[in-house]
Amino acid sequence: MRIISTLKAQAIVIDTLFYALIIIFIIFIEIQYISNSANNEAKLVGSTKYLDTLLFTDKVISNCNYWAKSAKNYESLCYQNVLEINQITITKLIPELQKRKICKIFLSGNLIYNTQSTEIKYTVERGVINNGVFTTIQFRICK
Amino acid sequence: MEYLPPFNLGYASKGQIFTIDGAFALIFITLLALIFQSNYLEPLENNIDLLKIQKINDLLLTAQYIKIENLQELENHYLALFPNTPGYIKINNTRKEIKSSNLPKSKIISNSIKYINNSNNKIYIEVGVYS
Repeated sequence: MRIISTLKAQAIVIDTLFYALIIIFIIFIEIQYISNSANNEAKLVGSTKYLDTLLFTDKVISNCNYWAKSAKNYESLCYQNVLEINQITITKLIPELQKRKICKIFLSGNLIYNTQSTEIKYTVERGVINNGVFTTIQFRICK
Repeated sequence: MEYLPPFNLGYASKGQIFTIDGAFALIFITLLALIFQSNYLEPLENNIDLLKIQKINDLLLTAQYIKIENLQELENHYLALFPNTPGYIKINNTRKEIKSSNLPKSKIISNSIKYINNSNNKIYIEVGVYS
């Protein structure tokens, strides 16, 4: 009778230990999952902002209301990737550039828009036609 | 010594059932975590591809506008936008590989355009980027 009680006690102790081990594993994996989810969520927010910048820069070089060159006598039609930039069109765009933290714009290597910010996060570069020749336009996004 | 029966659900002690339940829960949670992890990483990669597609379209649109017909000019434009990215350019039937000699070509992002030049000839331009 005493032997059976000892065996039962041993079984209970081993079961409890296994159960505790599995619970610890589950908690560990859940903590890792939650921390990964938080990291991924932060990445997703960054990714969405990056996507917004890509779409905005695309609009700047292809939309008639921004920097795309309008066809003569047809102001609602414009040439995609063909730029018509002057100080007025740059000034008109400043609020949107500030909203998206675009701090510097280089056209053919020349600085055409600049702010005080210096810490650059990333750059979006596109190919355009300016004054009839192919060149690049760089949008630098600051922190 | 008393006879102990082999493992059977009917005879199983509560501890054994808890252990099996725990193991199942562990497997399910691990699977769930793996599924969610793989879904979250997709948008970042897609954005990088989107920028490549936009640049390829830039090359095609500008080539059409200034009526490019020779590979060297298109290659210069390609290198201005993709200085370190391997790829290829094609005008009509002539194709040129750029910076892609020894690289495994796993994934290609490409696009093409057709236009009519000043001499009324059809020009086909294709640009591709390896990643």
